[in-house]
Amino acid sequence: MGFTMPLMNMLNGVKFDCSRMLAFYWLPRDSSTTAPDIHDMWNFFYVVAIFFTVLVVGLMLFFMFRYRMSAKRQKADPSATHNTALELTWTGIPLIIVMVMFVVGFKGYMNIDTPPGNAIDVKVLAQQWFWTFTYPNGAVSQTLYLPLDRPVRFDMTSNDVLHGFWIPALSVQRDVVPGRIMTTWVEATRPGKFHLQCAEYCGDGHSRMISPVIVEPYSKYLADIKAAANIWVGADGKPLPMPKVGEKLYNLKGCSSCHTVNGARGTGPTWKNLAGSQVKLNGGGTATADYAYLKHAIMNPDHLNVRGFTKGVMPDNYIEQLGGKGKYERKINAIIAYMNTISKYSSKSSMPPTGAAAPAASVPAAAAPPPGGLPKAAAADLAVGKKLAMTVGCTACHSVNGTPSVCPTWQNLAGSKVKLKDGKMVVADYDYLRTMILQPGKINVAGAMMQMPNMSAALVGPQYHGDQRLNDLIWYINSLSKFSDKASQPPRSSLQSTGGGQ
Amino acid sequence: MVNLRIAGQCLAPMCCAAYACHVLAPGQDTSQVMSMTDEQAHTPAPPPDDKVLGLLGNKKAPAMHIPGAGNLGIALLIVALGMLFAASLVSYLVVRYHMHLGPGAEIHLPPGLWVSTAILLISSGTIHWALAAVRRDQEKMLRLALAVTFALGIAFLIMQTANWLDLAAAMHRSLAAIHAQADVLLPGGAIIPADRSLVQHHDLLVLFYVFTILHGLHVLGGLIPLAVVTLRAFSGRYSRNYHPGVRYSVMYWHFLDIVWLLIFAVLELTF
Amino acid sequence: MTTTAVAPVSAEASAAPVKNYLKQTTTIRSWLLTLDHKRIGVMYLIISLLAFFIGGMLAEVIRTQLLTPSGLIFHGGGAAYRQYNQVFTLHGIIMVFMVLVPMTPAAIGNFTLPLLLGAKDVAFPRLNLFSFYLYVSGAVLAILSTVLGAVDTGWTFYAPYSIDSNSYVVLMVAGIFLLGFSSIFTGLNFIVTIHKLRPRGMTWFRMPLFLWATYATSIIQVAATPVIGVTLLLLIVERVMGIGIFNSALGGDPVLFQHFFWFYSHPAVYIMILPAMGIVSEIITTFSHKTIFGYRFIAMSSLAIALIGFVVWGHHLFVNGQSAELDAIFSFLTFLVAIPSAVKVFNWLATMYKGAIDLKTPMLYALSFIVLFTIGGFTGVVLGALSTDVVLHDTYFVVAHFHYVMFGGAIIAFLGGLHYWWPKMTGRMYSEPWGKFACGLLFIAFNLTFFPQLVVGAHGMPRRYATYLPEYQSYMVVSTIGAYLQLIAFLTMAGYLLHSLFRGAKAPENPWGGTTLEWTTSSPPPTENFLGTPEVDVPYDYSLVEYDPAIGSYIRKEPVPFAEQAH
Repeated sequence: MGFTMPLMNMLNGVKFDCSRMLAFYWLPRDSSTTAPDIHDMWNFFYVVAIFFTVLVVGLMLFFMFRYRMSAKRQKADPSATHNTALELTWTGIPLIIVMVMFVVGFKGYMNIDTPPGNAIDVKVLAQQWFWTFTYPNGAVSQTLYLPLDRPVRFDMTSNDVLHGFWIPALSVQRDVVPGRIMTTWVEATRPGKFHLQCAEYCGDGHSRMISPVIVEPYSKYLADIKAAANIWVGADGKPLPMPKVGEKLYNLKGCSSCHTVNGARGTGPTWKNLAGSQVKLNGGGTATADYAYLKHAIMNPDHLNVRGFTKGVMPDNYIEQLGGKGKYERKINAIIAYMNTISKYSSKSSMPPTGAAAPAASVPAAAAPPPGGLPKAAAADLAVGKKLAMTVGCTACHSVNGTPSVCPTWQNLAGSKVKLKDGKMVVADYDYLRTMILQPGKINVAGAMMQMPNMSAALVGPQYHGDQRLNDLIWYINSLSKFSDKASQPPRSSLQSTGGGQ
Repeated sequence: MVNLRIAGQCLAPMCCAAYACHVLAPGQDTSQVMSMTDEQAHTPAPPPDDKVLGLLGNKKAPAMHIPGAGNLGIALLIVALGMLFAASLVSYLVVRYHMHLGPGAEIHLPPGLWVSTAILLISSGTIHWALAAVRRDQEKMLRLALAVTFALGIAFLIMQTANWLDLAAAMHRSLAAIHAQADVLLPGGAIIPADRSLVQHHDLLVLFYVFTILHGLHVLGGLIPLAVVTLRAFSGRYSRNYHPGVRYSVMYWHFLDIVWLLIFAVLELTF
Repeated sequence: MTTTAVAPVSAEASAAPVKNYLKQTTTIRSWLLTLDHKRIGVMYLIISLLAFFIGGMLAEVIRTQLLTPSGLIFHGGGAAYRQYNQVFTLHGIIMVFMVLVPMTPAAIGNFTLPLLLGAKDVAFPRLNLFSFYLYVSGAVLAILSTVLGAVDTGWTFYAPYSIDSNSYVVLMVAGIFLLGFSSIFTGLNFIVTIHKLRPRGMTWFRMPLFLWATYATSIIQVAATPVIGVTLLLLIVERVMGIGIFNSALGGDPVLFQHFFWFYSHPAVYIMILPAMGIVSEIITTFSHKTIFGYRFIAMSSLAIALIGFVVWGHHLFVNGQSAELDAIFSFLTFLVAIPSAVKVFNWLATMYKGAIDLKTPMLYALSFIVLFTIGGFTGVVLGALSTDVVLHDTYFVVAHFHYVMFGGAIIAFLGGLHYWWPKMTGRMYSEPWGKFACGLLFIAFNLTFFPQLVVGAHGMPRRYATYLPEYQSYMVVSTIGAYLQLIAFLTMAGYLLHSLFRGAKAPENPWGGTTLEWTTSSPPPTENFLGTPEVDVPYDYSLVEYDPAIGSYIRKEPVPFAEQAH
């Protein structure tokens, strides 16, 4: 923005006359804040290219006819066989021009590469062969809603192979690489309906991997993502049937990352033909997957004992994930209704009871914080920390209720004595927990089966208000331990929530 | 079993390399080499039939000795193979760099690798000795040195085979460990981090096999022309003035030695 | 000062007729086991033309499919689209690995390189034949994989799709592996040949420019091809053993594959275009009947392209998340590679200046090359600029760009070379009016095909789409019409060339007035190429040849022996 080549200034002068004419035929109208830079680059290139192409082809045609061989012209006229000065000139001039092009191109690219700090964060998941967008309010949709004149940052990843995030009208493109978080951003300046196309070849459905993109005023955008967040209604605003709601929840709440619906093997049992079937249990015996079983399985996954599947893998917080007390029952029923639609064993006993919300019987209260001198002021941070533990991925390995798992359970961890590999015993105080999370390589716990990944990128840094996020998490770990004490708790001065770490 | 398939995949091109050495090296061994001068190099070609009949029609065709061509050819072959090994080492290092190997399930390189390294180093010495011998017209010494080199080459391959077998057990263990955790290896891809280190150790093992077998095949590819050269030495074909086959073998063998030292050093330092 | 052949061949030699290389022996065995570079070159030519035909027909299938937005041939769903994907994958693989890489260096190069050098053969004739059979076996493996179950990964084999994809990737990749080795050995052979077999008097800076181009090409072949060998080997290992090198699901890095792949495949682009530029240099000077302008700049620009070409591969990964620093470096280097190409174009124009330009068919191809390569080069420049690459990457703009360079550049120049050396190869003249017609039609049809693709790509149509948004249709239709016209042009070409084989006029020794050594021997040359030992002086001296209407050929004015020349 601030930096403009003198040559570009000249071009900007003529832009009013010919820029549209040059660019409009080729590139889409500029509809985002980065597009003008790109169009400047294009125009510059276009003028140069036209000039040189006309020069080369013109000279060629002229020579072709002027020096054409004929009866009168059998021999070439004598002329120099080389002229170093001339040749250096036509080496040097293109060199200067392309160097200018390089600088202009790089300048535009820097803006594209660096998202502004105040951007709205939209998560993009690419998989064969559709796009899923998750908005800051938790809404998930297959349509990309973009607010007008506000920067939006996309954090993208792929579930399977390479994909390409490509909105031609908004001049934004970035490959989506599995195993990496790819980032790009856009600030749309023109309302309208556009297309997001997959640009990187991804298999059979590549050419159908197109999502609508709707750029609209901010208020309209907010309304749209609010509507998208409502799982009970469809895109047309009408209430959805229960199985449809269940399917939405399946994609929304992470079920899909472990349970397939096509019979393929996943981390958890497939949902295909599950409802109503006979489930084999560990240690012999079977159970019928009726409504009660399925509901119990969702609410108390650690009681599960399905043969061939590891206990303690499924998060045990689905009651909260589904909205907590009073709200989760209907959602669980919707999920079970969805399971029934994809099962050939579906029967009355495996269907959710008809009528109003199912009785909220036999719901164990979500793990109550054990006693342990927890300051009341930490309560707000607790909720944040708990949420973090789920979203950052801690609970994929660490159980919070004492269930043995691949990694040490967090129950009664904080403040307890931990045995190290070299035989020493240490107290799991605040410093220990902090080091363990941020520099896991430094501590070797006896009997550990794996190296813990370094979590610092997800927990500390200016975007998380320094240590705030980390401390919230450690507050939560403390809340699970009866050994928790002052030494294992974060400093009191940190009692100030980050507001969900968003 | 699986390794065999890999070996099969590698074998074809490696045989090509071996054959190329053959084509390049003894290709210059025409019958009239003894006193080939520049003048003769430009004499008219032999009767056309020789050349047209080609490979089977005329074993000696074409009767053309180009001074220095063989050396340059071998040098270029070495450049190409050098790129091959360089790229494979770079890929290994990049893959290794991305790994976070945890404690437990550790795999150690077989100590036999030190023995093979020693064997290869010595053989590099003996083949150089052969070159020195032929330059001094010491025919007996030449034969002995070549034969010893050949034997050492075979010994190297035997030792490498022992090393591969040595690690086979570890390979089985890592495979079994992965299979035991099969339910976390999803078709869609996600793996529970707990198994990452097992998987990665397995990756390392496979890469170890890939690179050592790749090198072993090149040794095998070098042994074939070396055998030809040795046999020719025994039939008294080489002299102080004419010994291209020996020279090419020496160049190639030193190259194999250097490549092995690099591979070995990298493996020792990072495995 | 002059180019001289010590032993003039035709007139004197005709007294004691020497059989040419085509007639020497006629058994199939004598062809299949030949060590004669000319016959090997012809065999390369036949097979790569066959591959070109198959690849071309696949292209027509692609264009027909894209006549309608929902697809004319393959429509309805995943399985149908997969077939389309297999078609374009096969088109890419055949055209790149079996046509572009071997066609000009191996087919034209094999035939002409020793002739241009005045040598009897390449340095290692047996290795040469061996490369040919590696090429054939690689092609056979590729065909086998297609017959058994076709790959649908795109010619780039990007991981992890090439690892997930349930098709015969391993077999195909093994075939390409062999093709790569064939290419390495050919390059090795040519380098040694150029180093060791230059005739007396031919210093490095007296070599014909095609040799410089071939030399630069060979360097790339020897040094870059092994890298794709390793990459493909690792891909095979990864598929067979299920380990994670490129597969992110197993902890690998897909971007690593792209780095390795382009480390070879970008220089490979120069394997295709450099010999093409060499051919154009030869043709332009011959048909302008004027010494090439700025010999050293053209020669050195070939080397510069080859060397810079090694370090620009990262420009394929601008939107792939590599760091901005790397992006900048690769963009910078990419711009540098444009310079030697520009120098060549200007020098060719300067060669035409004040020449006596004979607009025969090969010259028309060379001039088409200049136009198309200029467009291809400029579209490459805008793709090398970082900001514009973001909106053009992986669109039809890229497709059109590399067709302008690969087809409009490499193939058009190859066709020019084919017409240029056709009399030397076959001993027959083709029909000049038909040749001009086909060239003109091809030029128009080519632009009709690919210019709309530039536009539609800039509009945003992604590549490798079996179906597309309706707003792009009109461009696609025009493009398809162009593709059909190209087919007509190629069929015409095949017609008159085949006709010339049987009915064509006998070709004289030097029909175009060329000054390089191949024009001093008979057409077609005898098996040993030259009856004497040629010696040369400064290349491209057109004062030495003049047209003789009596025999319809150019003749040398006074073949003065080199020894006398020197004083």
